[in-house]
Amino acid sequence: MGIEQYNSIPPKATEFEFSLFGRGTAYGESIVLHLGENKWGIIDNFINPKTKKSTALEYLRAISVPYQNVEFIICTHWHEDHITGFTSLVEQCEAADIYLSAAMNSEEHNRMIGYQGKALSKFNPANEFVRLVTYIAQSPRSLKRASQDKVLHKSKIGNEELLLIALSPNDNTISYFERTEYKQLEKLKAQEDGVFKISKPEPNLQSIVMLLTIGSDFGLLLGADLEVTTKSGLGWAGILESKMITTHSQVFKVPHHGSENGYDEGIWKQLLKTEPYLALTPMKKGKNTLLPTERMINTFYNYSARSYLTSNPYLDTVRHQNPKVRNFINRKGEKISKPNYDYGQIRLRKGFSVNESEITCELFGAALPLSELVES
Amino acid sequence: MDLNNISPISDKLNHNCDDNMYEIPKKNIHNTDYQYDIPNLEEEECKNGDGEHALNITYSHQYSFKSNYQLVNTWEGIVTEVDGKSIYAKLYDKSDGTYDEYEFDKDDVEVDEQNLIEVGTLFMLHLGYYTNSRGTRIKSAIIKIRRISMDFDEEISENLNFNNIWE
Repeated sequence: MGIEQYNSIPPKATEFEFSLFGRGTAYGESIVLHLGENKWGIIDNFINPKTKKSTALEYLRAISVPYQNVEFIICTHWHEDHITGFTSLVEQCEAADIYLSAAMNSEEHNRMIGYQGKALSKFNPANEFVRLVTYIAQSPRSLKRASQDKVLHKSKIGNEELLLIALSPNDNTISYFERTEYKQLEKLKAQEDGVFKISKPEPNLQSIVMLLTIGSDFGLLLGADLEVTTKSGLGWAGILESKMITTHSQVFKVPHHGSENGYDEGIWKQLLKTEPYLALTPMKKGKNTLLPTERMINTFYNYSARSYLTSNPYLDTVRHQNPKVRNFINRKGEKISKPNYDYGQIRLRKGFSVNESEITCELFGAALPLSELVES
Repeated sequence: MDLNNISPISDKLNHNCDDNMYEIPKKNIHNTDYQYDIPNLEEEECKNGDGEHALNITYSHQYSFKSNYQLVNTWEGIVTEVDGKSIYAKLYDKSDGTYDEYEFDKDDVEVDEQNLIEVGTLFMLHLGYYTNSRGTRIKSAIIKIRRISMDFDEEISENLNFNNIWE
């Protein structure tokens, strides 16, 4: 079951919507945008752990939106928690433009996929890329590149213009990945017969960060998983090079699951209005990696009391669903555990008109205000 | 273990897996009591009742454990964290398409294999019951670390280069 039974009232034709879906443990996040007049956009894909379907499409179905009304699908970066089932999403939204990071479109990248794409594994994101490419090659559709200052979508509702602009990747980032992948290929050739480890790629730095504006007053900053980095001109520092940042945003999809490496107070202050809405998807990985950390929870809450998470990362795991496995593992010394599958939706809506500046915020499923996690 | 009994990995998929296996926790089981074939990994299209479809990687059952081994479940795993001797992994449960979390100890891994354990290491985990020669049923976990060859696939790369997939 999804959470659609709670959230099935569609927005008005003249109402903008930002919905963030997420479950931090292994499943990732997805964003649904209402662009006005029943036109929609989807950013990244998140599979409902229970139904194995795209949460974005489940939601659109719940509010009776035909999939052909999806105008664009954007993959911010090629990480498992954002791309699982991406090809299926693309296939079902036949009319949608498909945007990928321009940092993924180089000869070097293609050759790397040529190496990695054959190794079948549930954990190999190159497999999903090969699926997408295979589908695109057999269809009349094509992939579009998103890079800094490119307008990805433009529409007009009443007197107000809606613009979706990519703020990254910038030229430095695109060149950086060409160089990095070239070096990897050289290394591969040199060690063809030996054991070879590919160094950790950095898809987060390829992220498409976007700014959505309505008129001159409203800004929504979509942070993807972009990190702050010491690499010159890359990451959040590169965002500030954009010529298209015309407004401070009052809504922010916090980058990289609220990680410390996605936070730079100085940069945030240049991009955000005071007391913005902060929306984030937590992440639990291994035993010790739990995002956001307690320190960041307090940091975000001090930054803005209007902070929300799609689920509580500190909730315990649940019993294994397979009775045979449950019998096998000793409950006291349990080494295999099933993550809590409950996911949430943070939904913000506002009218397009200048006179409708008020934003309504609703939480569904496992979503909660950050204040519930703040130490009193 | 008789290495001659191990089936060759599928040429199509170019997986180079090791030939070792071990149990967690260690039990007095002789490896010669097992016969273990390397599973094939395949892609197949799954359609659900709503006509929506998605490509999934599936694991066809090519395991041939001896009759004294009863397989309970199989996962594909990836190491997500190494904290001293404690190892944490994410598991993909092929039986229901969900993910689990797994915690094990570095000492549970054969000494020769321990240097392969790091974040990103892929492995297969099989849980089952082994019945020894005295008829005692013993819980057993088998991990096989996956090594993946990096053979270049010209076709994939050419598709990316020449099929005008980018606008």
